[in-house]
Order: sequence, then structure tokens, then C-alpha cells
Amino acid sequence: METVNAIGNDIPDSELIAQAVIGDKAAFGSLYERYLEQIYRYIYYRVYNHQEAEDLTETVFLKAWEALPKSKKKVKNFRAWIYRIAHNLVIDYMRATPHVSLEQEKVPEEDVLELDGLVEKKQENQRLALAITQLETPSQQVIVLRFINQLSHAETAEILELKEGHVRVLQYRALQRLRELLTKESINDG
Amino acid sequence: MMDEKLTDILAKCLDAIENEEATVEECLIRYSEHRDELDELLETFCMIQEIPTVSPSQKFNLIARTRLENRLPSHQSHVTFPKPFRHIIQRTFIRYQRRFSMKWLVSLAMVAALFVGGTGVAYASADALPGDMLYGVKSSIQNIQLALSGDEGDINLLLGFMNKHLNEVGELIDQGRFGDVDEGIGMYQHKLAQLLQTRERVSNEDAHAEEAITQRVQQELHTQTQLMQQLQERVKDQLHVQQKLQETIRLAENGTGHGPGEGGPPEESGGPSGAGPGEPQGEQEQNQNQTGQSEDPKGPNEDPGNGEPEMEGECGPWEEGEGEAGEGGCGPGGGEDGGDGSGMPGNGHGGR
Repeated sequence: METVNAIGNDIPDSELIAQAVIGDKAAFGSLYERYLEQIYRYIYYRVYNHQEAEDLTETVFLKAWEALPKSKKKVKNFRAWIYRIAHNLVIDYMRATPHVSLEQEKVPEEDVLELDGLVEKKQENQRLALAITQLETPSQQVIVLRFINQLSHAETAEILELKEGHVRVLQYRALQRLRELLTKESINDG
Repeated sequence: MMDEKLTDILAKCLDAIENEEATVEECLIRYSEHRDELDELLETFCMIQEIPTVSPSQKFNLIARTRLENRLPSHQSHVTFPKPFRHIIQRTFIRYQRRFSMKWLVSLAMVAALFVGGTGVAYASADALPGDMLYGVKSSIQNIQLALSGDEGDINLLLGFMNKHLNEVGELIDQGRFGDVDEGIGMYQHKLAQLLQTRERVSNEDAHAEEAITQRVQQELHTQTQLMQQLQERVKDQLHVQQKLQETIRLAENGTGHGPGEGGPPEESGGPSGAGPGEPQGEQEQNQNQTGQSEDPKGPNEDPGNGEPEMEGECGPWEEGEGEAGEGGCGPGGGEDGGDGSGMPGNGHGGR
């Protein structure tokens, strides 16, 4: 499945990769723009911190650039490849900082002054986002790829190097677990 | 076995809803034997769909591509000495007279680059960092370039060099070489002083060019100030480096003609804004055009391949009493979140 550049031109990934491998930074810059948001969101829901997610996103692409010429196998699917780099980097990050504070990005105090409904909605979104970060890694990956980044079952399977059937099972369990977490939290709140 | 069957049913329902081939209610009717469990799972799915899209901050997006491209090392040869080798050289030969020795090395390198005709040293110095032996070569080459260009060319060159110096500082920070950061910041400050002098000279000589140049310099300095602020964030435990950066930020802000917090290009603090993910960033385009690194007419926020999901009217069961919610995706109030009501920390971007 070949992704075509939606940013400014129709150069397919494979062509940009070929140029990037021989040192074309602008070509790699185009790939960066193409996947920046997706990778950012993928990382964000793992680390739940905007600043860290931005830094890690940039690091993912720096690592990809360094790895490109060394890749023994030709990078056939850049998206899957860059997601895997992101996944590995997040794992390293989590190991290095095991106690990531999930409290650090709370709804600002001044929001309390806003309309009740809006605050409630914000808090609900925040609870959900926080619940996603509490899922097991495979469930988290599936939720973010499928429902946040809007990838299909097949695309998700390709990125995670799983069979589609496995992705369907993970998706089912992830939604179920998420439901449990939210229910548990609302009981605690109540 | 039950789960396995339900996983497939759930997947079919999700596919149908995502492709707008069925609504939640239709799915529940179609698979009424699993209604209760499906209902809960699809409701959770719809809640996720309602989370507004998180995006990098506008500040990050503004300079993301330029910054990345500037930070990419060359794919060719390794241009700086590997650390162990450098340490051996430093300990053995230039322990006490590092600066003096460096001058000699630089001179030799320059002779090699300019008179022997080989461009290898000059090329190899391209990615050298402050504190590296070849950095002097790089610096000398920059001075030669400046000497050979006119005033307006100088401004372009100086702005480019200043960007490079900041990237060098970033690289040094990444490598933990805080001792060498001073030199990098010093190089930036020196170029900044040259830039401001040149700008003044050009403005005095050519009133027509003044406005364009001033605007360009202001924009670039603003971007560089943002970069320095980001660098500060990365050296929170290095007070000395923080102070040096703060001092440099002040100098750059003075150079824009605006003190801290005054005027300049609009600052984005990550709060709710009307800028949706696909909106082109005017400043970014300018920035990219200046560096000649992008001709992409669109902003960096496009999410290709996936399209923008339109979940109109799919998730009816949770829209009770919300007359308009059916047009905005899953659940009440969905679909018009432009950053407000996100509940997502620092998310200053619109929903999907």
C-alpha cells in the first residue's frame, strides 16, 4: 500500500525514501511533514505530555534518518517502519522515566469558571484520554491507531505486524477494558 | 468462543459505522442477540471519536521541518572525530594549549582547503560543532563567505549562520557537551551583532529595502527566540546554559525592536485557537521559503491517507435530547470542537 503525499505534491513515499537514503534532507522533510501529526498523536497517548511528545516525535525522525542508509532491508513501508521506531523509542523513554506524572497536565484552574457543561465535557475527554494511557501497550496501540489515527484494521495489522484477526481481538479487549476503567472511575467519583 | 464471535461482529459494526454504511442503532438491531455488550463497546468507541484531535503546538509546527532538516546530520562521512579519538588527541597533544593548538590545526586545515585545492577538509568541517577541531575551519569559511557577499547577501548569510549556531547548540546539549555550549552561543551573539550592524547600514543606504529587511529580520529573530526558549526547556538542570540562553534571547528581542512580550509575530500558547489542523501557516511558509527547504503549499498538519472521518449521525443512541448532535459525530455536542472543550492539555487545535 503506497501512501501518496498529500502535502503539496504527489510524490509517493517510496520515491522520497529513495531520495532520503542518498542524503536528500528536503525529501526527508516532506516525509516528516506527512507523518508528523500521526506519530505525535501515537506518542502523545503513550506519554500524555505535549512537550515530551513533541521532543520524542522529532527524535523518532532523527533516528529514522540515521537508520535509513543502514537499513539492511529496503524500507518498503515507511509508515509501518516509522511507527515501529516510535514504539521502540517510547518503550525506552518509559523505561528511563518510569513514573511519568499523569497529573501534570490537568485542566487549568480557570476552566472551573467556564460553563458547567463545557468543563464537564473537558473532564470527560480528559478522563478518557487518561484511561487510554492506562491500557496495556497492545491495547493502547490499537486504540490510538484505529480510533485516534483512523487507520483501518488492515493498516493497523501491518504496522503492528499482526494478523487482522489478532487486531480485531485486541480491539475488542481494548474497548472492553476502557469501558471497565471508565466505569470504575465514575463509581469512584460518585 | 463467544468473545471470538463478538470480536468479528464488533469489527464489522465498526467498519460499517466508519464507512457510513450503518449507524450504531442499525448495528444493534442487526446483531440484537449481542445488543447489550455491543451497545457498551460502541458507546466507548463513540466517546473516543469525540476526543478532539491532539496536535503539536503551533509553535512547534511553525519551525518543525526547518529545525529537523537543520538537525539532520549528513549521510556521508562522519565529520567529527569520535569521542574516544578526540579525547586521546586532547590528552596527548593539546591538553594545556588547546586554543593555541587549535589555531595551528585550523590554519593547516585552511591551507589544505584553500591552497592545496582539496575541498575535503572544508567539506568535513561542515558538521563540526564548537569544541571540535574542525570548527575553526567552518567558522573561517563562514567569514570568507561573508567577506565575498554584499550587504543584503550578508543579512541572508548571517541569518542562516545564526540558525546553524542554534542548531549546533542544540546538538551540543543533546550530546551533553555543556562546556562547549558557551562557544556556540558566543558565535550566535557575534553574528547577531554583525546582523544588526549590517541591517542598520542597509537601512540608512536604502530606504526602500528597509521595511522588507526589518520585517524579515524580525521574523527570523522571533523564530530563533522560540528555538532558544525550547533549548532552555531542555537544559533545566544547567543553570549556566539557561542564563546564557536567556541573555541571548534578550539580545535577540532587542534586535527585533520589541522587548519581551511586545509585538512580533503572534505567539501561540497552546490554548484554544481557530487554527485547524489543515490550515496553512503563513509564517511557516515564509520561514521555509527563506531557507529554500520547502515548496509545499500546504501546512504540515495534513493527515494524508486517512482522510477526515465524517461520523455524521452514526451514533444515535447517545444523542438523546441533542437535536444537532447527529450531524457532528458520536454523542452529544460532538463535531464542533475547535479546540474548546477538548479537555486535552495544551491542545490548541481543532477537532477533526
